[in-house]
Amino acid sequence: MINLAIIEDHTIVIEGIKTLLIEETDMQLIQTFTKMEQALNDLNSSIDILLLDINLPDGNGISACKTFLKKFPNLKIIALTNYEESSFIKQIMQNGALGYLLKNTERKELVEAIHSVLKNQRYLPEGIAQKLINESIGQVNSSYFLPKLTSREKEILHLIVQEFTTGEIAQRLFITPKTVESHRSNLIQKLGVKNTAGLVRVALEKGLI
Amino acid sequence: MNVIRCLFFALLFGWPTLQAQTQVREPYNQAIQNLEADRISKAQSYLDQAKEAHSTDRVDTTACAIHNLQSELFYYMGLFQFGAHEAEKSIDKSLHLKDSILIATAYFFQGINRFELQNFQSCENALVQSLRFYPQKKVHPNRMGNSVLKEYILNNLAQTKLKLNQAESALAINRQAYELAFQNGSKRAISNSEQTFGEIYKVKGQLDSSRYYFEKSIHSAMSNFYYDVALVGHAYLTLLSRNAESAIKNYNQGISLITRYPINDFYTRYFYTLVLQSFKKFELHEYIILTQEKIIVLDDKARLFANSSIQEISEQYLDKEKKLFKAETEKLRRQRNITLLLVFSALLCVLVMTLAIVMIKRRNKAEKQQELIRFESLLSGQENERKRIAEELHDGLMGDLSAIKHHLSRLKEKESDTEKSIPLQKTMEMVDQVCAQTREISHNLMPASIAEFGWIEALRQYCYKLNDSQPISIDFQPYGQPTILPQKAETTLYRIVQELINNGIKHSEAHSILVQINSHENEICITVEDDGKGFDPAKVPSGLGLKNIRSRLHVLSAEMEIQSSQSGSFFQIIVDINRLKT
Repeated sequence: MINLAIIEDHTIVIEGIKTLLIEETDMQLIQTFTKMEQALNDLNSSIDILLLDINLPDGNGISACKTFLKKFPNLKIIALTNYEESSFIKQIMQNGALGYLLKNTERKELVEAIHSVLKNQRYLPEGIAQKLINESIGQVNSSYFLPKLTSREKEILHLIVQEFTTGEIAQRLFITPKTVESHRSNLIQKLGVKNTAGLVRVALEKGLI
Repeated sequence: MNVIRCLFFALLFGWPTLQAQTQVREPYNQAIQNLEADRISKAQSYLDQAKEAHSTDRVDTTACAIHNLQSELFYYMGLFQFGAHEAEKSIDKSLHLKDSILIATAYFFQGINRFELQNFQSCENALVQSLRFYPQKKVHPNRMGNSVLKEYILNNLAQTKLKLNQAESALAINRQAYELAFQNGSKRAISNSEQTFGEIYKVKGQLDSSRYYFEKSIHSAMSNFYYDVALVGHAYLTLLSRNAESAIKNYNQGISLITRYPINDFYTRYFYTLVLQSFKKFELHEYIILTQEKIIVLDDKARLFANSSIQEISEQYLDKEKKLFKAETEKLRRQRNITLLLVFSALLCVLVMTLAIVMIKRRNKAEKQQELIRFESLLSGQENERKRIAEELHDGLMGDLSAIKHHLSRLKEKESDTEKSIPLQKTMEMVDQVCAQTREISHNLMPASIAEFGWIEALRQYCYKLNDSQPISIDFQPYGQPTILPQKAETTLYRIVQELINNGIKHSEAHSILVQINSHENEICITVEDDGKGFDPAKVPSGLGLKNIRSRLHVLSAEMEIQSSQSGSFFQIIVDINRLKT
């Protein structure tokens, strides 16, 4: 028998989940909490799986993950939320949750997730998994390729290579010397160099100008 | 040369005036009487007395009258340069006083002095001015001053015209002078005009007419005791004589005048120079020698006079002028001091105004500060409300929808009849769609990720989502280690960049948008750049949500630079982290 618990401030959702699990003979929802505090104190050690909401009136599910796992190292946590943003998903998974479900999940998905996490396998709904993959590919791309320069940065880099001073650049581009300095430090940061000499080197090496 | 004594005797009796006035008038009238009697030096000493009683530095009619008389006296002394100079001063003052008869008189004396200096063109100008200012009405006979009569001006202008080889206009003008002299009964002017007719006809070669007028002039001069005019007439007749006998006859008539009456040396010398020409023509050697001797004697006398009194007078005059010049310089210096004072007061005014402006500005600034505070509270109220609605949708409504779906799911599973289970499945799918939409709305209202992971992360998510849903390619490039900012500032920054991106998508028709965020220790630099069609920042100051963006920037004490061309738009925001309120 798989023992489940849920922390969810919205009781109607708890009812819904109960309804989904009614037919499941090998699972039982034995504890329900509407507050984090309550759950941390009273959670039964026999609980195998915790369905955890992120937004709770007295706390945040993401950081609570760690606390629960510290206290109950064998507990498997499935986040049950309405957030689709990858940052939430990544963060809570990093904090130890094994599964991530949206609240309008279906019985089949819920059961599948429960079985997966019990086997210590991560579970993500297909749509969310796809999104995370897409994003990570995008990120690989942006760090792999040379950073793109804005048109103003190109102008300024060009003038820097031609040995123009900050004052001269400001005069030429009708901007303040302070703005030129901002652009210069942006370029230094972006191209990962230490100083103006580095800027000139990278500009020439990579043919940025 | 005709000479003028166009003087009104100022009548003292009608003037119940001050002692000072009398002190001027007495010597002034004495000067005029002596001038009439050809006692030039004496006239000058009386005029000097008048000048002592009434400083010529002053700008009034008395000073003008003194200048005019001095000009006339200098004329008779042959100091034409001084005469013109005195007239000039009188012109300046009388123009200032807008006294037309004084202006006319001053111009007249300037004219006749210039005539003797052979400056005929400038003489003509002066006489024309004199006529122009000459009053229409008769001048009050009671006024002090040696006011000129119009017929004299016209007569002298006619002589000037003759010198300028304009004999015809000289004739016409002299006719006017002649007519006016008759009308006014000015006897001397009549004989002067007749003499001028003689001169004009002589120039024109109508010698009979010329002789006729000279004889006529002598006749009218003699009957009014103007022996000097008659003498010059005899000189001309000598010059016009057909033969030596007639010349000698005319000459003797002139000589008899000289012996019988006291005639001014000026005219006497003029007589001798004219008859000398005649004697040379007829080769009357004896007479030539005699005349030359007379001229030499006269010149010696004149030189003597010049060496004594005139030199003295001119030296005195120059000395006085020097003093006057000094006084002028002093006046200028005083004026300069006054100017300095004025400049100083102007500066003071400017200072006071600047202070006032500063105060007004300060008050405006305070008002703006208030406005900013109002806007800030409005903004935070709006954000709070959004957050509340977003959470309610997210946690409340979405939870309810999920629960409904779960119940539907249970119903469906219970139902074995496919005809009934298919609509249930459809209903569940619809609930899912509503869930997705609600999630979207909630997120747009207030992305929970701002609070959880910061505005930059939230923007990254936003850009990824747009990349999926929009044809436009959004390149999100964050650099540096982000500083955790006050919650309000994070939300505001998120909204600003979101608005800039949305503008780009909606209006620019761009293919790609670059969103770059550089996090530095003390500042954040945000660049949003698109490759769209651009816009005119001057024409859409409030459009494109720019006004909203600017208001939000104001709350952050940040500035935005906008550049736009046909090849795209560029927005740059630099936020000074130290200026953000916690």
